[in-house]
Amino acid sequence: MRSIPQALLWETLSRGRWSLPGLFLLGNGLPLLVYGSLYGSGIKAADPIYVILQFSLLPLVILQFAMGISIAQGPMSRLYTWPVSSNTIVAWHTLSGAAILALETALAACLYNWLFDAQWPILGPMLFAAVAWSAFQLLQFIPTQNSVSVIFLWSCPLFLSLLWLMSRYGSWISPPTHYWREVTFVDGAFLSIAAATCYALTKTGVQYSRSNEPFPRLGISTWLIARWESLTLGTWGQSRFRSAVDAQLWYEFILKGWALPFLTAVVMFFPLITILVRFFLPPRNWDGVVELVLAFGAVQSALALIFGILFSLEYSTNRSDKRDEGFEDLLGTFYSESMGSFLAVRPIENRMFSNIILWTIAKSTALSSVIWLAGLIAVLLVMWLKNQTPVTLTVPGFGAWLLPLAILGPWICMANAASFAFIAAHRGLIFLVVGIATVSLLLLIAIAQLPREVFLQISVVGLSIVSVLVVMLTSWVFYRSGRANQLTSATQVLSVSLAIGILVAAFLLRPTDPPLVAFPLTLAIAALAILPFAALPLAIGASRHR
Amino acid sequence: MSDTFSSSSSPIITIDRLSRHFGHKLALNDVSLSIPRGGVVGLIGGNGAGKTTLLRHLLGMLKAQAGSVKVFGLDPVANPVGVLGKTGYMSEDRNLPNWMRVRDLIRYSAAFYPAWDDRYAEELRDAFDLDPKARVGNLSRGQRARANLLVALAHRPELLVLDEPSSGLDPVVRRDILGAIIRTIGEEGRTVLFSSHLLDEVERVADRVAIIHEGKIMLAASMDEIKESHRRMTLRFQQPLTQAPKFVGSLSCDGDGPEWTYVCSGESGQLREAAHALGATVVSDAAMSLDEIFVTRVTQ
Amino acid sequence: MQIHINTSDGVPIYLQIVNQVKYLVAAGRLKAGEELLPIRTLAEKLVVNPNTIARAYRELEISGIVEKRRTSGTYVTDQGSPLARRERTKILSDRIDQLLAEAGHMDVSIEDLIKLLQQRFSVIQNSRLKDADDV
Repeated sequence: MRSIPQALLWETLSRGRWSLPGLFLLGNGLPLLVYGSLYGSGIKAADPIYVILQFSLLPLVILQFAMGISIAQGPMSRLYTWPVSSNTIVAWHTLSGAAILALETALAACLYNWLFDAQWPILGPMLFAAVAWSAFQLLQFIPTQNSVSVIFLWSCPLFLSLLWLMSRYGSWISPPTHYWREVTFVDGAFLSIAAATCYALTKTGVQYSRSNEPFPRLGISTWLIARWESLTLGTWGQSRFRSAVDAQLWYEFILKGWALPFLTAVVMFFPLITILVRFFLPPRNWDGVVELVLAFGAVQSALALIFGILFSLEYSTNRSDKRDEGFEDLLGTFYSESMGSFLAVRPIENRMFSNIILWTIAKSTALSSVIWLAGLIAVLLVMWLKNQTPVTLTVPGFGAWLLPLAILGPWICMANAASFAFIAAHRGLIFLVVGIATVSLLLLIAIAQLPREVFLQISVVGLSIVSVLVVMLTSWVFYRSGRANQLTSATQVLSVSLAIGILVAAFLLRPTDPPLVAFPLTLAIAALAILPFAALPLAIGASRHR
Repeated sequence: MSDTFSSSSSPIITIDRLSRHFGHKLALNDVSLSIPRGGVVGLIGGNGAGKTTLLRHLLGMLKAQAGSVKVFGLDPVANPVGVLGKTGYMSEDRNLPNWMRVRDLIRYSAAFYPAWDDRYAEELRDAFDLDPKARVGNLSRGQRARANLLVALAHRPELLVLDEPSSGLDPVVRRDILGAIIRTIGEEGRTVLFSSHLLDEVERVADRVAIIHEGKIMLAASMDEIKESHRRMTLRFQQPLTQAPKFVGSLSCDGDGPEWTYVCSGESGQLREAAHALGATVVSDAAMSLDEIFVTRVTQ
Repeated sequence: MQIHINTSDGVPIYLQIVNQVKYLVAAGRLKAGEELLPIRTLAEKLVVNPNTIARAYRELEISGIVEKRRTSGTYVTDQGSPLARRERTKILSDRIDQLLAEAGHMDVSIEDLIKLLQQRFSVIQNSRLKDADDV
């Protein structure tokens, strides 16, 4: 290695040899799924629905790519004691990270354009991604032990940047209407200023952190933490927990369960404010708002997936040096050898652990769905009051399935992600899953080149096969779980009723002419909804007893 | 030396032919050990000898790949409640939820153990000088160890398992921990098993010692037996020798000319006889500290 | 009751306690009828296993230096005096044996040794008088 940048680049690439491609694939998963299904059912790229979807999915995709890069680079604090100036540290991390992120975003955009016969913009998102990296980096290196301040420090810039992004697609307060085709000079200037500000702030932060001085505080977070504590501790009181189960439920919810509902509330706030503002202004285009809210239903599931992985993270590690706690450490515990010894030594059984986690996930997703539904209803109400024709909540070919699916989605994603994450420390399993995902993606790309009818037929067959496999997997896991005595009678009853309930509801709400592929898919969804009941105790056992 | 300690009551821990691989590495090699109720057992070994691996098996964090582990007669993996409900554990990495405050940690832990004593927990918290409002993640290393010890002790467990309790700690905290161990065994029927590579502490506090080296139990006996059966003898031969002869019971030798110092294992009288048989006079015959015994045994 | 434990030279801990208690009794620092610290208290103070303390107390009891009274504790016996004398003699004999052995190795005769003893005695006497004068 001849120079510092060379050494750091080598480090990033070799350290990120799994996380960079892995999170690239993961990030593209949801868009490909959504766009692919729409495209497959005949909705061409010119349709306005894609505008809204693009806008909603872009930040999520960038976030996932950014996480991969962050893991690859490692926390900046590792370089503090080395003979490099703070400027070099920040400059290198920012420039290389921004370059990689912009590249990944451009690559993804090109991929979609090619797959779905579209001319979606590349430059705008690329530049946004580059600046988003410098912002992401700034927020990410603030110590994570003070969770409340982290939330507020994250959500404000997030909010503002999303608003700005939306303005590129339409206007500041209306839903997106067009693509961000021209990157004007003003745009460029704004982005540059934002990037420069983030850079300056990051550098200041590094300097404080390096000399181990505390960051200047406004006291807001302290006040907020005090409020939060009085709220949460007030609920459970100062008295003893009634049982071990109560104690563990408290632990899981207060640590991880509230994340999804909170984020939903924050994001739902966004269209609601828009609506309220528009209530007092001359009406413009209303339709997009509903689509936006519905689109968030899909995004909610994706977020649930990410938060589901949180449940397996070990929040108990002994890290006395807080500066080292970056994303890598949080996500790095994903690869840790086992469940932390504090949790592993709790005198409760695996299936009890599993039930507690599932109950927390249920509460979390239910709360989140309620907030989302409330937002949707509010939007519809406002529109009805303004005498607009109400938008039907059915999409052709989907029937009335859209809403139940949007509610079931987060549960399926979060609960299964949690199960997977517990086993995922068995590296072989990660490889298997990533391998399958890659192969599927390649297949998808390959067959997308074929004429539409053939594509449809193959996708129908493919999906049916996958659905059957999912049902078989679920049955096998239930069998194993039952053999290992991990299913309580409550769990058994619950899973059977849930599966039956889903199938009945799907039948009752079916559209007039459902596509053939809907039958196996419904079975698969029912299977996935009950899979966690059996899989999670086994997964916890695998993680707890190595 | 036998692998098991003799005792009248049934052992609290029985490890039978336990083996464990991590990939290609054999961490535990056919380990058998039986620990009786009551008393303090010190598990000593170098870094990487297998101490933590062995202790993790007792708590169900590792499954026995070959052989069996029984604590209170139960399998820790199959019966976590039965074993862990009566065991207090201090992990090597002091694993605690960083985000909790000390008073939350106490409140949370109390729910898991029916035998939790609130007053005793408060006494300990006060004695250890732990600020209830402090976040666990912000505690210093010594405070963290004390917090970990508090959670382990407050439910008066029948079995206390401590993995390197003193490592990385200043002498004041170490005293606290050893004091806690001593007070624990003051109460009838309670057992302490701790691993350490600080042998002077083990010597003070342990009744029985098991030496583990490269995944095998090299020696398991009571402290008295071990101390009484190892001696350092200096022999003076009639002529200067280039290499000293070995005799039955000698473990190592060092020296030059006519005087050679042996570390021997065996009964004092027998060793003297053996020495005389070689034609040497015993110039000095001293006891050895546990530290010296360990180093000699392990570097053989 | 000042007892100090040292683990580096290999002497068993119980033996160290026994010897030190014997010394304290012999030197008159532990008087007849005085109570020894209870086993648990001494164990916590010295940071030593209570069983070791118990063994030490047992040995002392066998030697007749202390006695265990059922409910109250362990006390120094009144037979302290002749015992103390015997202990004193034993302790000094041990030291003299060491001295003789060393002298033997260094090839110093017994007459020279006695002369040295007397020399050292007068030196110490003189310095004590001198201190008394200065005060």
